[in-house]
Amino acid sequence: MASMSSYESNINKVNESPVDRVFMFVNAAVLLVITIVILLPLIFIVSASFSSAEAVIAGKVTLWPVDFSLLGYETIFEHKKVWNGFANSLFYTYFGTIFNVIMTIIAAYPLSRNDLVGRRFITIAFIFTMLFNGGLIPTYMVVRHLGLLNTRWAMILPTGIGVFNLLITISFFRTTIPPELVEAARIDGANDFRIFGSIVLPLARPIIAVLVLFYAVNHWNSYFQALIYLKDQDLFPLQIVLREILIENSIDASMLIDIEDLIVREGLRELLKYSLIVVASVPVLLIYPFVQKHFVKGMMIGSVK
Amino acid sequence: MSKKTLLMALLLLLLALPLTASAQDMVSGPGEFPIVEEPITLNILMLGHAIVEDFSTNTFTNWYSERTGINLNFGIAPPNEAQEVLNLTIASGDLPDIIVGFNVDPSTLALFGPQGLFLPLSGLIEEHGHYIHEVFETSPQVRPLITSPDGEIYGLPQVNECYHCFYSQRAWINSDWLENVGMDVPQTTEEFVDVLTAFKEQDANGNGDPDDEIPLAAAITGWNPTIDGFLLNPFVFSEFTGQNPGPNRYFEMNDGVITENVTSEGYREGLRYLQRLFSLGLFGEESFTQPMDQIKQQVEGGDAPTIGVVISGAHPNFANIGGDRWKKYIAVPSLEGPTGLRQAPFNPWGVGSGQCTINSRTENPVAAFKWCDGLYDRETTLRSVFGIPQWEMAEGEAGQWQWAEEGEPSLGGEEFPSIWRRLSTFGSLQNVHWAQRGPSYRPNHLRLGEVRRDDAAGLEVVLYEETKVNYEPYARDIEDLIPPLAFTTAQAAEVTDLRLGINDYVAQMTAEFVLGRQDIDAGWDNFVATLESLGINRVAEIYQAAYDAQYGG
Amino acid sequence: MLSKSQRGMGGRSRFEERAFRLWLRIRRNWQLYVLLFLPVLWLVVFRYAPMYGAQIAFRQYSPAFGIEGSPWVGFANFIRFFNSPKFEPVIVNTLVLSFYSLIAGFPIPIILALSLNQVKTRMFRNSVQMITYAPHFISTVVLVGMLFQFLHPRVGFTAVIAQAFDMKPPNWMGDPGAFRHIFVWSGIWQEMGFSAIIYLAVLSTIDPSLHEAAVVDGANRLQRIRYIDIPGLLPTAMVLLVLSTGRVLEIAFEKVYLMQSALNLGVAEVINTYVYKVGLLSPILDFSYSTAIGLLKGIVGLLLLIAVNHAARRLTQNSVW
Repeated sequence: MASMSSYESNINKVNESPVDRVFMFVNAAVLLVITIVILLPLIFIVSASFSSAEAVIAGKVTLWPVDFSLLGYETIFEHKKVWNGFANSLFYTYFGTIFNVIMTIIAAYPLSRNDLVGRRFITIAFIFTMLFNGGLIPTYMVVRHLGLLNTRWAMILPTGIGVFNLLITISFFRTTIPPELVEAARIDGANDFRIFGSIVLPLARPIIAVLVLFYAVNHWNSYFQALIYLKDQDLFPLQIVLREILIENSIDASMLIDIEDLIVREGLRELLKYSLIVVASVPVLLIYPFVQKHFVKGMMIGSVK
Repeated sequence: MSKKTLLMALLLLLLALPLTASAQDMVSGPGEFPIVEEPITLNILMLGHAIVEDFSTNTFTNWYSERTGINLNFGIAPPNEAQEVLNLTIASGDLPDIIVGFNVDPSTLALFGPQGLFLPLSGLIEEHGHYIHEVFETSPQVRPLITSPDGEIYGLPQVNECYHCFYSQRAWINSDWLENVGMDVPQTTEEFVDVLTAFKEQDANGNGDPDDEIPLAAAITGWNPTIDGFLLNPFVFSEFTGQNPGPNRYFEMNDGVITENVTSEGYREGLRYLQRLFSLGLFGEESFTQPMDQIKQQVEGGDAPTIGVVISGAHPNFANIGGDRWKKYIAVPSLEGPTGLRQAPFNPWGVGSGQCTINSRTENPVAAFKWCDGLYDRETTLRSVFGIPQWEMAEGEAGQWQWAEEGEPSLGGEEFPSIWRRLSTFGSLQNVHWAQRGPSYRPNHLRLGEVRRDDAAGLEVVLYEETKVNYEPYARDIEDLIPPLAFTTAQAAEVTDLRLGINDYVAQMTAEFVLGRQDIDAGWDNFVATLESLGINRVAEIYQAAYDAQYGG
Repeated sequence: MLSKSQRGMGGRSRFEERAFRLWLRIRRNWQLYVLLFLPVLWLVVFRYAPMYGAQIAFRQYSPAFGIEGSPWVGFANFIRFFNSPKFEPVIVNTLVLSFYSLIAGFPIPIILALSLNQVKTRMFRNSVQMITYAPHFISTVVLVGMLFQFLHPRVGFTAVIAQAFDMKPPNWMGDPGAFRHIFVWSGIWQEMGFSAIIYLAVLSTIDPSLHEAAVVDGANRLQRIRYIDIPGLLPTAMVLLVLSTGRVLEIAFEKVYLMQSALNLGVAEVINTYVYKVGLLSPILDFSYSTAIGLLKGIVGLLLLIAVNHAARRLTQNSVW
């Protein structure tokens, strides 16, 4: 059965000791409690998103929709911009993730090799940028000089490599690919490209899955980049559109408020607060099972080795 | 530095002369349309709006393009991040021809205008302005407000003389509760205590439980929602409040002299009053921590509201306007204090500064200016704010507004003859108007000249009438109000740092005093001394200097 | 003359010898440098090129004059921060809140991953993973809104529970002593599942033969966790710990800001909310000031990172570089 990893199935043949049985029971119980604590607020959000705004305002919703209503969702999908934003976000997420993962892997493998001259220097150069950056305006100006402003590239190229992800990947390669394996392959006449293609990449499946998830989630949730680099509404990703719909609750006291505007703000906010979360997060929740699958597979490849 | 400015000015002059000369040939006379014979395109950065579907295909955009001969190439800034986008646009020096819909701060204009980022407009106003002159004549407060300390104008305003917004520090009391306890609307601070006490002791909401009433509630988010705003005014002038307190809070002006008032005896007396309300159990500690959402819940939830008095600018903040309960909340008038002081803070400026600024390097300065100028026209304003007039609609379809019939009753009563009638409710997603973005001119007589309706727009009538009776009579004298100030860079940095320390300290100490965690009398000297060490006198000095520079002392 | 040049030649040849060997190593791995070329190019263009702009921390930046044209002000922007009455409390609050988050938040995803790794029922395991991962996608505004709702002293769950026991409901959102706990634990609630993912991935690569051998030796599950799983996670955990310490001054301002009230300001003002409020209050945008503070945060982060990395290398033989 694919669901069972090789070692679990082997071990299960051995009888569990009483200590293990107690441990397993406690473990499951604790996990169950944690899951419930996390689940209840989530249920509240989903229930609220399917309830009428009046019921939410009055605090009647707890764990089941009150005055079932789809108005929140209808209001969101009424916006043409939402559909367009959805398509844009898919585009940025898909191509951005591919770009990020390739860049991270081809950077991480050489940097995980102890025999690479300049390894430390380059690694530190990457870490340095996590702590220091030129700030908003200079980065903006570089993007402008490259002619990327207001193009789809501006959503993909500047993200490149995440320092956390790079270092995790380096550490992953160091622990899963023993130097002896590389040496042996070399003696067999393989060059570094071949080693990278036929040994490193297959072993990297779990970390690639993780990288795909991290980068995809990042792209999906990012809005600040769009805010800075994009002016054309047709290019806006979903998050910008959703934030535009959900006007925040802060009111500047020194400003005059038109009562119509206040009604719009308050009404939309109450109505959409919860349905927006559901709309924005369902697509990224859906990719998780596909990523999860590779953790188990990775385990089997590891055992083949 | 001064050499540089001189050089800059010379350069600008040299640049501006031939430009205006050549541009003049191309454009129409003041107030005439189309502005240009051959259509031109301007790059515009526009502040987006949740209920505008797409500015580039918007009905008003098309109508105004046809009228002016000027097409727009839109860049849109998402409304929640307006400030970030504006800052970045300015900071990168990469300005579009016009920036529209943001409230570019007067200090920003005063700083970057003379440095050459924004086009100086007073010459253009004299030579090519038409509708803006009408604004200046009918609303004389506008011109000084948009004039920078150097005497130039760098941004055109949105003028919206929203009558009830001028007095937005209000409180609302449940009329059913008053009836149930058999009392009248309180007029003085003592009567207010009596009413709240009755609310607490009796079953004021009539649901059979005498213990579920919360007499008074305030919040930290919303429109003038805090406990230390409305309720302090019987003791000391207390400016507009909220998560981002008004710029002049804790200060006041008398006969042109600006001083801090948070250290005054009046403020101390006000704190004592709040402390008394708290110790009598008339409001809870959560008034210092809760957002408006939870007040809404207590107003709308259960079988009856559980809050008697809410501190808030208007009903949509604390109740559901689609329901019925909000109608029960009537205004608590500005209360009279023990010394006879009775005042309503007043914010009569009604001017969003910098709603239209022009890039100093634009190729079409005159056309760009005239484009902004034309938006102050009455019909254009109604089209940009409300939408399509009825006469342009096909048979059987509803427009958004039409001119009023002779003799129709207006919102403002006899004093204000009716001018126009609204045919739709503002607020749903549409693509026919700009939803109050950009320059427009809505003077008092236009707003109050709206034909009276009793349906969904009823709130506007309620706010108008309550304000007229309960707040306007107690308005603080306009001569004694600190107008919006423009600061120099050095002043701005200093004021920001000092105010941050002061605002937070006063907020913290107010809470401590009122909740009885510190004794007001024992802690007062230390409070005053700390404020002085935080530089409160220095802030007053800077305000005074900025005021004198801009309004001539 | 001659002897000198001979000595010189001898020195050079030793140097040449080393250089030659180095060159051999570089040439041997030339394909690795080919792989690295694009990432390094990207790093230079998108990360290092903009760094020239950091100089505005030492200038009074005005967009009208550009970066090079703005006047130098030396350390004025830094001094402004040091002299701010908020400087001390803001630094202290940031460090306390941040280290609390790190100390409480760092081990929990590891424990969760270890614990999940033990679960045999696939359905249960996958459901728990999915559910714990979901809160990551709740926006800050809504998260804080829920905190205010659940912990409200009159209408919240805590109030209902307290009343059921006939106790006075606490006003936790107004209690400065509770602020840090609420902040940290709501953060853990939101992020532990997401942060556990990387550990789950690493656990899946641990060589099964190690476990099999341990079982044969009679090791129970706890012992196998202790001696096989945890050492397997250690390198990754160390990398994350070291990097997180470097970013310890970066507390996302939004959540803190939304949780602030007059009652908890004493502990709830951190560097990033301070910077945000300066921007909000300031009538004139001041990029120089925020750049200066950013630079300062970077320096502190760098020092911490070097220190922690050094300690990690000594204690666990793991180092990020």
